Amino acid sequence: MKAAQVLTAVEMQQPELEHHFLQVIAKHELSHAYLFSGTSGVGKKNLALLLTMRLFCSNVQATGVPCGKCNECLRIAAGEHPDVLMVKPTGSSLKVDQIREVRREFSKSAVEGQQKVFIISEAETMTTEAANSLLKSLEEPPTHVTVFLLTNNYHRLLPTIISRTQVVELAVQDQAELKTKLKQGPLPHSTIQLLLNLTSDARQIERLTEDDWIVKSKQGLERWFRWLLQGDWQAFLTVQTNLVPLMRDRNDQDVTIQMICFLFQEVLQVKYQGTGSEQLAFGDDYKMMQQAANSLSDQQLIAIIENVLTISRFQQNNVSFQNILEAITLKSLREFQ
Amino acid sequence: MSYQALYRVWRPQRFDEIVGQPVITKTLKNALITKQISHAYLFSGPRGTGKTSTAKILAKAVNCPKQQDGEPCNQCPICLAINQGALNDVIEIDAASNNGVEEIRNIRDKAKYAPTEAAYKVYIIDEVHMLSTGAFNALLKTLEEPPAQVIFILATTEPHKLPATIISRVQRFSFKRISATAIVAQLEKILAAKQITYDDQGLKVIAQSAEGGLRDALSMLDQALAYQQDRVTYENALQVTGSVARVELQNYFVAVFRHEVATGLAMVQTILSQGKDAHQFIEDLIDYAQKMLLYQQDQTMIPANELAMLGERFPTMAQATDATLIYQAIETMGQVQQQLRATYQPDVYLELLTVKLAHPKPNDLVAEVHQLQQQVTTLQQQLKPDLQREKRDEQPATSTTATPAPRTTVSEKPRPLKADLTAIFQVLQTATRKALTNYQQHWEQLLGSLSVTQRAVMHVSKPVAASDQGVVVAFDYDFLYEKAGHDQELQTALQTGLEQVFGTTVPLLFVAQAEWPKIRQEYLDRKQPKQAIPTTEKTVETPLVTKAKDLFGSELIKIENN
Ligand SMILES: [Zn+2]
Ligand SMILES: [Zn+2]
Repeated sequence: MKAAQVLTAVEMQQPELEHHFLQVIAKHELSHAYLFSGTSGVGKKNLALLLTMRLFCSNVQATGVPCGKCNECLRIAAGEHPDVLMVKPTGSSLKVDQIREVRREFSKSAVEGQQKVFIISEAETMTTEAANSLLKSLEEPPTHVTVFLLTNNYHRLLPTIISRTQVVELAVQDQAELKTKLKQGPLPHSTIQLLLNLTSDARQIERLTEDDWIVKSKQGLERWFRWLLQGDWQAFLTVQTNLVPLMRDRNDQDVTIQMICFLFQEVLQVKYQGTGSEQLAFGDDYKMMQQAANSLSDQQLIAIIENVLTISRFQQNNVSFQNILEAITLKSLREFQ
Repeated sequence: MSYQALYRVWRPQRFDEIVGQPVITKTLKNALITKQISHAYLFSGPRGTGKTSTAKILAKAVNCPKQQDGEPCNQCPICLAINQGALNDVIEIDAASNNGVEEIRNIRDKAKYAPTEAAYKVYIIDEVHMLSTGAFNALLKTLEEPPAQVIFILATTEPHKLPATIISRVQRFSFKRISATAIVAQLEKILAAKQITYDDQGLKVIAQSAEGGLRDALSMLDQALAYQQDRVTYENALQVTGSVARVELQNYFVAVFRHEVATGLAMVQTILSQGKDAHQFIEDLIDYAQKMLLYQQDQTMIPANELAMLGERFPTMAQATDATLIYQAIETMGQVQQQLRATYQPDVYLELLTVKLAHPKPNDLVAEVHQLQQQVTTLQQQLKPDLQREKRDEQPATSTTATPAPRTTVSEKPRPLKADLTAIFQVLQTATRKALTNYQQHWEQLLGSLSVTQRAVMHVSKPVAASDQGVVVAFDYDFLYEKAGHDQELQTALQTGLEQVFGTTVPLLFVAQAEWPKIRQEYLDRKQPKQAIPTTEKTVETPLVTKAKDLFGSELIKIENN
């Protein structure tokens, strides 16, 4: 990513936090450790990069914003600055060796200037060992060090880590612009609705719309749901024939589980709030949603959603995706029959 | 350039400055004054409660030549060097990064040498639960033969992960969560020193959200001050803690208690769209519900200024809502809170919670009892003659007022469960008080080995007689007795649990509590001719009663006249 892009992105996504932190830096009150928490695409990394640029920039603008053009800014945005260390998980977790490396870097003095910045992405994937190893550094960091931890759910971090940082939650900003842009494309209204529910991250949207993936999976899920609704065992077969073949990677699997959650969440909304079809991601076949809302009792609906949530958690334990979907189907069928 | 976080600036330097742990600091000071220093300490407790700070103060105090009343002077070269982390004889080790055998052996080797500058060498091992098994063994050797002039201070948030052998060799101090009042007092002190004004309610919000950790509280105060430097306001405090205004909590409860799911859902959606934290929201809800219970019990428990903050409908709602409903809500919220930790989709959980709170599960215990009671009333009206007859048949009935669930008349029940009298009598023949006490004492532990739903069934059960032939288990509610009796999976789980907890498996014989006195009587009748039962109101200790007391415990023996 280029420096200028970082600046525009933050200005668009997190203008208030940008303003706030630039003031904090101007007053020399930046703390030693921050935890930026928010869903993917909300702008955590860019905010951290912008603030880092501000700390190093040789030509800070009168407005307090980094220039985005000087050598420092450019190298930071490109991930090439020797005093800015960026760490992200290798494989599925941040390992203790990676954190040890961070600790070693912590204690070294800066290569060029007087300060160092650490940006640790997906901090929630730290193993317990890694997290414990980071604790001490956060407790007594050398004065020249600033740490930005980035996470999509800060409650998954060790409480002892959280309490040593300042937690900043990044809220999803207005998606109006994204929506307008998507509307210019070929996607149907309900699919756009679904996409915006899933993410605000342009790259993720690109990935999900590639080869009409989102459209196909949405159709697959709707077919699956129709069988479920009839209490028909075909629902079980649909998992193997229609859903599993669509999965390209782990991300697709996560998104599919999320979509199943949304589907039932929307049934809940139709049932209790009478939400109209145009506000739903699964509202194309509104009769189907109404039928589900009317035929399921509170208890059944609660049971189904809880099952989906409970079973999907096994994904973190490497249970095969097909097994997970099949388990969800079996349990839900029981409620529908 | 870096700003010093408040929790670092305000790190206590004397025992007197440690917040919220008066017993611990007093004990340590006394030990210092009377020179009864232990060679190994374990400081355990939640985060941010002062463990490491106390350890450092202790390291200073034992070494400070000008120590007075157990406090370090903080001015002598030794104290200053320790404060700067520059004294070679006070060694801080982070067990998380140095968790291997080598590191601990290294400590052992070095500990042999006398301190160079100070009187004592002090090793502070933080996060000690992270040590590897090998390292624990090495540490144990050192603790078994402690070198002179060496003190070990182990600190951990997770003491249950330490081997018992280590725990038995140290003097243990359990640091408590710091009360919200103590936290508020400390925040006030800091703000007064910084000449910053504040709203009382703002500090309360921060203190509450800190959950007993002073460091959390100071981090949040830092954040609040970053937003507005000259004043800590209620709004800022809500913002940095991600809390929801108390009035909104009130409105939420009003909605769900009135079964207005749509209103509740809309509120949850608004709160989340404002970027509020789902976890904190539930935390706040639980706290609010607890306040309702408190207010029900004693209105004076909530001071007037706090009451005002809880919203104008709070008093009425607190008084009008059934306590069991509030308890149930708190339990439901607690469960959802646990589930939230592992999810990226807090909104589904909050919506689910809302439906659950608005429509308390009918198969929850309380509701089920209510339902059954209603059923019974209806049935009693419909089947008056039948029931009368049944009642007569059951004579002599017990005097217990437990719900007489008409097992023979409720049609949807599976075949009624008959207590296995032969087996029960066998147990009674060999029953001992000792066996019973043993099972009673560890019953909770046994239930702990079950799944949540199984526990829900068993939680009204208790052992009422025991021998090595078996245990008689009575259930307060008939329907749970039926449920347990028909649940094969549960019985298997219980057997597994028995083996784990007691090391043996014996048959568990279920009885309904309402039936139990009758069965017991029947057994006694068979053993001894009827006339032995005293016929007067006075309780005469016959050998039979003594034997009965021995079997069942005196609190359970009520002599009945027929
Ligand atoms: Zn620049
Ligand atoms: Zn001193």
